[in-house]
Amino acid sequence: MASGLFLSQLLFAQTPAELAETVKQLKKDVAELRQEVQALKAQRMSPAAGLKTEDLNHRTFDGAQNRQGFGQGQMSSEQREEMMKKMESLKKLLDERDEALKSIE
Amino acid sequence: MLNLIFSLVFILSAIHGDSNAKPKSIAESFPPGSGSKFLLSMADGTSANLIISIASSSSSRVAVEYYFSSTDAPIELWQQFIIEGAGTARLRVAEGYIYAKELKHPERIPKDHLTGIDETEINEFLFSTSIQSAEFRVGEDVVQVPAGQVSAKRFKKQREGATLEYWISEQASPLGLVKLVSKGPKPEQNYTIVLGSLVKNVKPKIDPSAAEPLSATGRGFLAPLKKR
Repeated sequence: MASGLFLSQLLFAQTPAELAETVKQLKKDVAELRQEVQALKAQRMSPAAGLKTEDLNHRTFDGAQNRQGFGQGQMSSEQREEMMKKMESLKKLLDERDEALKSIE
Repeated sequence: MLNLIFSLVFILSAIHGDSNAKPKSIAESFPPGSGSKFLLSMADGTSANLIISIASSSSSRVAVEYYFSSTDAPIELWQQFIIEGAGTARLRVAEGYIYAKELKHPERIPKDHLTGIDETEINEFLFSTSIQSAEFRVGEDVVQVPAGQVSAKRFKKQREGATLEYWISEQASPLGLVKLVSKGPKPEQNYTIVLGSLVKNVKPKIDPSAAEPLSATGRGFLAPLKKR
């Protein structure tokens, strides 16, 4: 296509001015190709893939469930329950470890 | 950090423009409860979450609520601004409110704090027209942010000695902002904002009808706004 034509011009260019003009055309060609690639990439990303969306379910942006990085505020009942389960699980593991240590001693 | 948030209040909401698209009504363009959750990283390593959502919208005014929480300190702050004249060439911040856990009720931001917000600044970023956007458009990229991968228009402009480079996508509606990188000679001018996720069905924290006059505690949360 156009690139092939410019390549032959590049190979057979006789003067520096011709060479410069051919290089300029090639650069333009490359820029157009880049735009085409970007457009194709944009098309490939279907809207269905979309961006991550959080549904707040008509809650305000506050409270522990919406915070990241610091632990102030009240936890929701679900979070409290989850935390209690984790603590119980941890306690059980610690008890098992203590039992194992005792048996070794 | 709070000073930065105040300065960002009106530069974050860059709205993409599409001259070929059928004009939408204000209510269609800014559905209540919709918005974006941004992750803000300063050059010094501190970071924060910033959520901007539409509290309400009508034919001529939009209420925008900002929720800020620092990841480095126990700071939470809500602000709500009522912007009038949406859909016209002349915009103005008609009302402003602030709330923090340290305050009993939301408080009204006095007019003198609102007049420091330049109208041109709002026009440039919030509800910007396609012509204004096109002037600063420098390209189109596929951008990877925590919210996902998206094709976005890239813009670049100078502001108070800093270079702002930002990416806008219709997929990130209604605010449109996907990423913003600010670089400048002052330490506070060096930060990055990326889209963490879109949000929907956000209930506004501030009820303007319950607001009281600004107290001394509330004034402490207000950074001085620049007068021009």
